[in-house]
Formats: sequence, structure tokens, C-alpha cells
Amino acid sequence: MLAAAAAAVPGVLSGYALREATTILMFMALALSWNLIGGLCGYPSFGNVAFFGIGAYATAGLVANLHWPFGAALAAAAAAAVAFAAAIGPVVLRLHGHYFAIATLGTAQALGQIVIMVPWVGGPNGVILRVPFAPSAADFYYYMAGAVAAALLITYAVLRGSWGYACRMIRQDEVAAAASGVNTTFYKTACWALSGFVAALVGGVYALWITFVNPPSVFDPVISLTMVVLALVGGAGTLWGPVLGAFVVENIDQYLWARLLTAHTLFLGVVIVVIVLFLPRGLWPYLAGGEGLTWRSLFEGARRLRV
Amino acid sequence: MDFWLQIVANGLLLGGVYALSAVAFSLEWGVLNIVNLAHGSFIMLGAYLTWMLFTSPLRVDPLLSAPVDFALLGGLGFLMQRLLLNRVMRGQFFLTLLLTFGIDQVLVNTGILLWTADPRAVTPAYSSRSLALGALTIPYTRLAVLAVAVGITVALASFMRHTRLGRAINATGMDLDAASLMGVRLPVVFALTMGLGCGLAGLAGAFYSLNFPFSPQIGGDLTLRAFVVTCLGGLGNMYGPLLGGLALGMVESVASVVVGSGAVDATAFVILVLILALRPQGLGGRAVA
Repeated sequence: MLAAAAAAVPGVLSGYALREATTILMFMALALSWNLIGGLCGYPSFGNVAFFGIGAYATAGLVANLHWPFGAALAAAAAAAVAFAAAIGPVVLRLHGHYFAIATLGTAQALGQIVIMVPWVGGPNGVILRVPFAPSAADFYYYMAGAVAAALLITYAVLRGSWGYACRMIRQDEVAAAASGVNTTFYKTACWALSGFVAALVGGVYALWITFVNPPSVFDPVISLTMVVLALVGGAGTLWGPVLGAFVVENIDQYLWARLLTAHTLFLGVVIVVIVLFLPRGLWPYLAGGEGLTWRSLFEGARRLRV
Repeated sequence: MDFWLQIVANGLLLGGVYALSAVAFSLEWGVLNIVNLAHGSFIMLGAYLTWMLFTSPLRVDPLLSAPVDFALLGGLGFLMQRLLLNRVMRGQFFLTLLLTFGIDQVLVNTGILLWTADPRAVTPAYSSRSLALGALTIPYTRLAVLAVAVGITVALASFMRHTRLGRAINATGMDLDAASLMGVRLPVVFALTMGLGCGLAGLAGAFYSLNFPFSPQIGGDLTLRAFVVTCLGGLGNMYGPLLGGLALGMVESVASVVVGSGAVDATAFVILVLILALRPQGLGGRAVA
């Protein structure tokens, strides 16, 4: 039913509203991407924008410079992100907590700086994409919807198999997981790579959609942080939480952006503070668990975690 | 030879700036286990307070407004910990990370609304003077930062070792529950530690404003640098930030000559990742990662 409603959107909306809807889908897919490593395995990546940037840049470079068809370029970009994740995964995933968070942030920042030094993709000027048959606005909506569907399928597949149990064990007690024979390095690197795969797909579609990529826009650390916020608002580690979080926050954000241009990031900061204080587990568990969202439950979270 | 001597001197002086801005960050991380993403914005607020006092009719000298910054931002940090952060201290670590990120967004945007995004500078008469030491040129304001960084480090180390409050803070950092059982009032000690940290960040802001132009958005970069410095120096060693700061300053100064000034940031991050991968305890700290 949800899928049918989503599919009907381009028939109803057009122009700016369709663009907004596409943006919301994009952030849903990105939140799901973060959820695969941050939510499922409890490794809070603050550098997932690296994969988004790799996806965008690889797609842009291959389409603009080598005239590859978009589909092939997108596949190559996703493969590049998976390869990058597999290469750095065993190193950064050895770190825990704050160290992992900042190592990933640093990796993404360094990557953005390094791209500036690569003349093939225009250095600091970036790449402009021109394709002979540009897809329509509705096509991009469906591409992003496809990325969301792919991310949901991947998350579902991971959650329901033995893989999901391995991830939950890693999240709760990694030493115990390793001691009971779970190959933790393999599972967390695999989740990291899947997370990279999804983010790179989104990045590739984004590049063709916006038709321009440069380092500040596609390696923007705010994108990494947005992924974390959206997933946590909805409920990290659940299948539908990140989708719900992206839907709620991005709608509020766009509403405010249209009305309070200067104050809307200030508001985003306030939303984050309020969510962390009152809904430390996110929205989804309250809705799905049938507990309902009451005043009591709002203060319960804060009472449990305070000193 | 003179050229390289100057590069090394520049590195040490830059290192002083990094060390001064990382002392507080490292204290908060080590004791509270909070990576304070709003840290850089407290430095920014300190710089703006200094600027406001300097451009007011009183024309307060930045060196005199440094203690004012310490007191005001210390108070703000105390309240931030008491009212907000203390509520999630027993949660997963990324709750505090996210909370300070939210606070940072609020501070940065409030700064833009109050002072606009235009860059500002604090320029008293002595800001352009420098000491000529043989062939070396050493700006007085940079030298002051290095001296203050060393002074604060030594003062903080002896405060933590010899005073009652310092020992309580230290004990809390070592074992929260044990400290609590020994009668340490955790909420108060947490708030005082954060207050001390944010006050020192404000003080660093006064000296930052003497040396660099600033805008409300400088915080993010400063926080990242403080993180690199803390990882380099190692957590849990009071002299770590000084050591790490000087090391990072040297590396960046040399890198700007060898690989070009555009690659300085990339070098800092590559070093960060290498340090974390190869020597997570830093140059002189306890193993933590």
C-alpha cells in the first residue's frame, strides 16, 4: 500500500513539490545506509558521506569524461564504494566508540581534500554533467525510490538471517560475539560495504540529478551527520525507523526552510537536542511497540539515562 | 637553513594555538567521556566576546578580556552540562556526541544571527609587532599563545593533582561508580568539569582572536583539530595536548612547504587515521581505543 502510494506521487505532484519529495526519498535511502553500520552493528559512522561522494564523483567522471551510459557508471561507482569500504574497513572497524566516529569523519574529510587534487574530475571546480537524454524529474523520483527499496530489501535480508543475529551480538557485546565464534571482522566489514553500496547508489543518482558535483557539495560532513540524525530520530537498528525519521525531519526542515531561511539550521539543532533528551530510542519503537507516545514515556527515557 | 629554522619556529607557534585549544577538549573527553562537538564554537564565542569588548567604547584589551571570557563561557558550559548533558550521561556514547552536535548548530547559527557571517579581527596596536631573533621573526601574539598554552597545561596538571576538586574530577574520570561511592557528587563534578573546559575554550578564543580573523563558522575546524591533537598526544595525560599540539603544528608547517598549503588539511586527517590505526594510545597516553 505504501509502495502504491509512493509510486503515485509523481502523478500528483510536480515541479518544486516533486523535487522535495525526491529529496525526502534521497535522505530515506541515506538514513537506511547509515543504519546498516551504525544502527545494526552499533558502529556510529560519521563519515558515510565518503561513499556518497565516491558514488557521485565516480558516476560524474565516467559519464562526463568517458561517456559511459548512466547505468554502467552507476554500477561501477557502487562497486568502487564497496571496494573502498572493504579496503579501509578492517582498519577503521578495529576502532570503537568516539575513535571510530572521528576516524570515519577524518577519512571522509581527507577524501574530499584529495579529490580537489585530482585534475581528471576538475580539481576544485568539480564536474558538470551533460547527458544527451536527460531523465525527467519523475524519473529521478523513481530512481531515488528504487534506492530506498534496495536499501529496505538489503536491511530486511540482513535483519532476518543469521547475519542479523551476528550484527546484534556485535552491537551488544563484541568480545562475547567473537568468543562464541562469530567472525566479527567479516560481518561488520560486510555491513560497512553494504552501507557504502547504498550511499554510492544515492550519490550517483544525485550527481546526474543535480548535474554538477564539487568537493564541498558531495563531501559535506553535514550530510554524514544528517544520516545519523535521521536514523536516530526514527529509531536506529530497526527496518522502518530511518524511513520514518527521514520523512518526519525532512518535512519539518523543508517547511521551515521555506519560511525561516536564516533560522532553519538553528531549528535543526534544537530538534536534535530535544530528540536526544526525550526520545533516546527514536520514534519507531514507541509506535511499533504499541506503547504509544505519552508524556510519561517522554520523561522515562531522560530519567533512565541521567546521572 | 634560516628558512627551515623559520618553518620549525612557525610550526611550534602554530602548535601553541592548537595546544591551547585542545587542553579543554581533552579534559572533557578524558573525564566526562564526552567528545564535545560544540568545543570549537565555545572558542568562537570567546573570540566574539573579546571582539565586542575590544570594539566597545571601553576598548578593553584582549588580554584583559580573557578572564572575562573564561568566567562567562565557563558559566555557560556549567549550565549546558547541568541542564542538558547530565540527562544522557548513562546512555550510549553517541547520544552525548549528537547532543553536543545539536548544541553546536544552535551556537553557530545564533552567532550568525547576532554577528553576521562576515569575518572579524581584533587588532590592538601590538598585534603586528614581532620579535626579531637573529634571522627569525616571531610575532608577539603567537609567542603569547605558546606561553599561555604551556602555563595553562602546567597549572591544570597541578590543579588536578593537588586540589580537592581536581582529585574529585580525576577520580570521576577513572571510575564513575567508585567515585560516586566515595561521596563525589557526580552531577556537580560533571558540570564543574564542563564549566572548566568551556571556560578554557573561551580563554583560548581571546588568544585566537588576536592571531586569526574569525567568523561564526570557525568552530568545526577547531573541534576537528582539537580531536587530532588529543589523539596524537594521547588521552589521560595532562601533557598530551601540549605534546600533540606542537607535533601537529610542526607537521602542518612542514607539510605546507613540502606538499603545498592546499594539502595541509588532508595531511592532518591522514595522520589522524594513521595514528588511530597504528598507535591508538597516542604519543604519550593510556591505551583507550
